[in-house]
Amino acid sequence: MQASQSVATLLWILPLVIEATISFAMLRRKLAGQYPVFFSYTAFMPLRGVLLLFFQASAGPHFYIYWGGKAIAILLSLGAVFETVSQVLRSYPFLRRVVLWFFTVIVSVVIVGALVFLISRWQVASHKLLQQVMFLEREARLLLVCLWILFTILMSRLGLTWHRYPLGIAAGFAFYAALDLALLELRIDLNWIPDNFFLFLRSGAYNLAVGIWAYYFLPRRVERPVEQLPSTDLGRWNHVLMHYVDQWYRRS
Amino acid sequence: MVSPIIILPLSACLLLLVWNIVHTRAPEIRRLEDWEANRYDVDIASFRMLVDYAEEQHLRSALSSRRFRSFQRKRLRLAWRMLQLVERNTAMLMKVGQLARSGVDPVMVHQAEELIAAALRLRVNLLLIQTYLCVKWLFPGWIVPVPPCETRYRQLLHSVVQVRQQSGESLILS
Repeated sequence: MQASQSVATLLWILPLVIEATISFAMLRRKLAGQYPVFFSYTAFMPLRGVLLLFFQASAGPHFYIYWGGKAIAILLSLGAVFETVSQVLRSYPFLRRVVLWFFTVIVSVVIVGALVFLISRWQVASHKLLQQVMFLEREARLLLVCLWILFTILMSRLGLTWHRYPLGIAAGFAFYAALDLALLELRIDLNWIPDNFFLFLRSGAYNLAVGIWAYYFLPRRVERPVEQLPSTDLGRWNHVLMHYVDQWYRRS
Repeated sequence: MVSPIIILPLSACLLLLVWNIVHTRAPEIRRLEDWEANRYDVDIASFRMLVDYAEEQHLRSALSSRRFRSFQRKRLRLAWRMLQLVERNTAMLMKVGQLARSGVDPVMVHQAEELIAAALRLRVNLLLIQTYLCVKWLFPGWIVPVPPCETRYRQLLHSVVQVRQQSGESLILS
């Protein structure tokens, strides 16, 4: 019992320490300005952890800090999707505008739908309140998972290169969103895992996500620019492929 | 019971995608020498032979329908494999272009942007051709028309190229 409590405490404190370290590293390397949303997230989470520790004896403030902090964390996670899209597609302004517009529409529709659903079915009884809040959390994670899936498929199909830091941000958030969503579903809908095991797995998943961010942000790596471009046959390949697309299209 | 059927596969799909992008089998490109060492030499003339309509008609007339379908599918698989290698080359060249773009020489930066634009254009064309090859492999005897959305892809490509050219010109002037 004591061992499991120690592990739970370690899993709670460790990511906060690593996130604080990542924030300092970002400040030192002047990355906070390039990735302000991710920086805000890594700075906010340790702060939230300290506040929760400070107010752990007071049920009321603890409840509001916990759930309010979770809502802010989810909003920052959503912001991280937009920030990653913006950074990765910075060199392709048209594509960036289209993707950001598309994602904005999706997010707006989902938020409006969730609000309408919530207003029509909101119940203030305490045992129902927690269930509804967890339902909202699950829907928010589902939205994040869908956005990340769409974006990674787009990146893959267009063959766009992931830069180091956006890749780290995306991998950590996407990994955690996927695992957390699966755990919420197994706990809320299917009731397959007990509460304490659910909390342990959730904490473990978050630690892995923070580990991914640490892997990408803490070591220093410098990319030297290429001084000479290679000769390529891209033009010839483009010409040949366009010829066949034209040919097959005209045949219709 | 519907939501677990949707949610759990979605979560698994995203985990797979994340694993795929993090543990990519593509070689890491940090210098020009990495491109030279890892590039694939893909012969355009051979690809033309594999997808050429006249060649296909000749085979259709010379072989029985069953043998033609089997032979055509092998040709299409080979063509698909060649396009996969071209796709990998394109991804490596995009990386080279991005590394070159981080330099200080504006002429080099402009050329790098053109390289990236050409690679992106090729990438979109590859998507079209691969879709076509996929449908042809399923129905080797059919002459399958490309769907009209191809013109929208062309407009997209044209817009991308125009925007890139504009950003490239402003970069040189500055």
